[in-house]
Amino acid sequence: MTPTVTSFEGALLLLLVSFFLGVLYSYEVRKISARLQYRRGPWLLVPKSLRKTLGTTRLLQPLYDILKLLYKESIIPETARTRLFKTAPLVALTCLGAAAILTPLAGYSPFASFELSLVAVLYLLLGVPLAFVLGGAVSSSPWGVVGSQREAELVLAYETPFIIGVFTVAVMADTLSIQSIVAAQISRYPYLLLNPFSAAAVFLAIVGKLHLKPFDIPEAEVEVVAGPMTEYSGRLLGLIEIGKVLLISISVSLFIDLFLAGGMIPRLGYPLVALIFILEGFLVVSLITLVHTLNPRFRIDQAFRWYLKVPTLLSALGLVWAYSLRYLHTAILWG
Amino acid sequence: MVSSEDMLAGLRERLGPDLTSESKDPKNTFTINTRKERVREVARYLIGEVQGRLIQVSVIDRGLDGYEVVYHYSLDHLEKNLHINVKVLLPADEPEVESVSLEAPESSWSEREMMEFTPVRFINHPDPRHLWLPHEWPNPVESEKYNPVERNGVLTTPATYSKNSEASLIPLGPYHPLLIEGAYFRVKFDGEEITDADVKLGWNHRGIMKLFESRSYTRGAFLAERVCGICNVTHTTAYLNAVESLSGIEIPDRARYIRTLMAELERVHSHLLWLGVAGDLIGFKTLFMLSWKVREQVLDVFESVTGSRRAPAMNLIGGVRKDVSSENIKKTERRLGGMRREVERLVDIAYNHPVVRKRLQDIGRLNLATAKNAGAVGPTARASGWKLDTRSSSPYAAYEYATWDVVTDGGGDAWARTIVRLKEILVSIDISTQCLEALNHRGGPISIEPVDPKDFKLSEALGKAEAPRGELVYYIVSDGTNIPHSVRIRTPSFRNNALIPNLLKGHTLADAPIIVGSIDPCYSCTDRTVIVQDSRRDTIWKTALIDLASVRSR
Repeated sequence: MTPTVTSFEGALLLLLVSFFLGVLYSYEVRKISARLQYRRGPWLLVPKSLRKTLGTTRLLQPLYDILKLLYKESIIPETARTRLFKTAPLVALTCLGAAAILTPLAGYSPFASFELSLVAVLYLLLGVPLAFVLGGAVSSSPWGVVGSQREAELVLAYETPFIIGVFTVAVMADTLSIQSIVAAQISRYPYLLLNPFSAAAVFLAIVGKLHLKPFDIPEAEVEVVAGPMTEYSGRLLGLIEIGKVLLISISVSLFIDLFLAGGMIPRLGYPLVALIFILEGFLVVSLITLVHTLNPRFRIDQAFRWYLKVPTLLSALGLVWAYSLRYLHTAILWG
Repeated sequence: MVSSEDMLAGLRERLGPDLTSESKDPKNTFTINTRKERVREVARYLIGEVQGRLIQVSVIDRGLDGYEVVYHYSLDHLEKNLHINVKVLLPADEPEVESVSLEAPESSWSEREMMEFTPVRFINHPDPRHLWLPHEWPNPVESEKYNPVERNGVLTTPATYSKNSEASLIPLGPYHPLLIEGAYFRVKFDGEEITDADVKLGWNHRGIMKLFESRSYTRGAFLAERVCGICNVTHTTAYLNAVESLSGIEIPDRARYIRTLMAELERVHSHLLWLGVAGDLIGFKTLFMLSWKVREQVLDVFESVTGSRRAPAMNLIGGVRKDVSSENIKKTERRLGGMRREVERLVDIAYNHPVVRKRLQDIGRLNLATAKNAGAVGPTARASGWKLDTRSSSPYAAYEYATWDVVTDGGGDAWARTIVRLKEILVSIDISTQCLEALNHRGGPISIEPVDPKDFKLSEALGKAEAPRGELVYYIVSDGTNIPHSVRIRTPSFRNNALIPNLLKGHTLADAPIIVGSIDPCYSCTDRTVIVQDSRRDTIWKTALIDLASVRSR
């Protein structure tokens, strides 16, 4: 599929679906962690007596929270660097929007077919924490500065296994286009089965990327209030929240594309593929939530060491595994 | 071991003619009077040689006679119930006495407190800055002046602002998510490491010690309950221990058991609350939710037994207000069994989680010498291997009748403090079960007639109780009228909070919350006055507040 006249509509569709999925995933994180903690969480089905005020379902609660923020006033500290402070969330959102367009959803992607689309998505995703670091650093709040410092350290920690793991997949598929990686898995097996090590490494890196426990260090409430986000409020905070929703959606979609064949199963029609994609998404998110709920927070140095010890090692193992698979494959083919 | 006889002989020998009078009350509390020049020598002897503890310094206003400074030494960890009050009378026109902070570093905060509440000056105090009043009052720069003095490496040099320093200062408080209540820790960083820290109190001061002086003894019990929202039963128990010593009455056995039951249930509730908060401080929301779920059951027990979830107003002078019915005893026993299972599961979660262990071990280490030197109390002292528990050293209520052990741990870090508290929950459930059993088998009255204040046997008494956070001390002076002349409270957090700057040093910002939390600080206990301001920023005084309250509740 090449970009044609419909490319604008296609992009818009991808963005909106991505955002909507993100809202559903955020709801799932909130609901599952609430149930595991003996809380109720947002209603899936509101009881009859409350329906008049609450509506039938609170499935879109994360969206309502964002909407509320969007029509509140943004207060900017007098001592902050106003222009940079305002730009940072926009930069993060732009990066995420572009990444959303480049990430195939259930195999649909008018844009991800070009070679190097994987590299582009990786760079765009890296832009998000950098924007947050910037926003925190210019916010003139000590918590913003400390949070930014932690964010920068955490990026270093999780990005290594993430990049190695993702490129291992590229090596296995012999391409740097996400679309081709998905296609390569359809004809063989999903890479989760062929290379579980890389999948685990990337999964753990995603937990860090999403700032979920045990890696919510930059936003640790009791230590640094809200980290880089401390001084953000109203509309600007709403933009950041939109970014977070997009980030969870993109990370999960990327994981499915790279390791679960993008939800595609040979000889299956479109609506069914979309359903499988969403189901796989919910599965990945519930696993992430489980990690989030059952762990306290690491200290930054502990997190750094742990990332070096477990996921980075796993991803290196995955790389070796990929090359040996390839060797075995050729050996069997030629032998 | 030093017996009371040896100690008195030593004091007589040292003071000679300066020991002007001595007396002993039926509860093994000695009172001696001496001259103000000798207070440091007494401190040196009682702290350095006898290994006693200075639990509080009180100043009593004696009108025309002057100000009476009372040093309360506790030696109950050496001999059961042994306390000694050393009194010094200062003239009203020149109320000055040498500070004993160098001999007894734990008295530093008590002396600073008394310097703000009374005109008495403790001269040569190493850290005479304001404790309750704002640092910048009345002169911004003057009041922050501070002369560093060599002090056994126990008290810290405060983290003060200076222009030519590379280190950054970060304010943890007065309003910060780490703190449930208002407190202010000024923390100095060199890179990631905390090099200095300072505590400032006075954000939740309500003047309760002053309020006691305008209430009858009976109403005082309800006021004591309001010092702290978490350990209110213990506060009334300590208050009543003092009042009952004053009036010379012994409460009936059944009342003793009920008081113990309430106090121990309160300890369970407080430690579970702490476990949840500590979980939250290391980012473990799930542990927080789970332990507060169990805590809810304790509150249910409170509600079914007393009619109120917190502040049950059970303890009255001479006994308790309400009997525990046999039906309630059975119900509570059943609930305690279920609670024990759930607590064991919580202990399992907290004990075996690798990340929890990583976050708590080797954090905020307090060694035994520092704990003794700075006067740590409660689980904080016990986690450093110091067997210090008022329940066993100065038994009150029914603690003598129950069989239980003091929980200690030698680790001294946040992990040890966690373990001590977790084990104490189980011990408390045990004591509660024993109390319920005793209540089931024996009857009897639950209270006796209180004594008229003019027939009080003593004119002053010390009342102690072991709060969930440590030793709680009430000192009440009676003048024969129906209201106390003076009430002085030394809460456990008042002691333990002073340790925090010391523990923070050398750790990172990420560990600061759990170090502060591992002490289980209670700020409403530490502080006791609040100034209420209306929208026009005018201070509202008591009478106006009463009027406002009556308008509201009309």
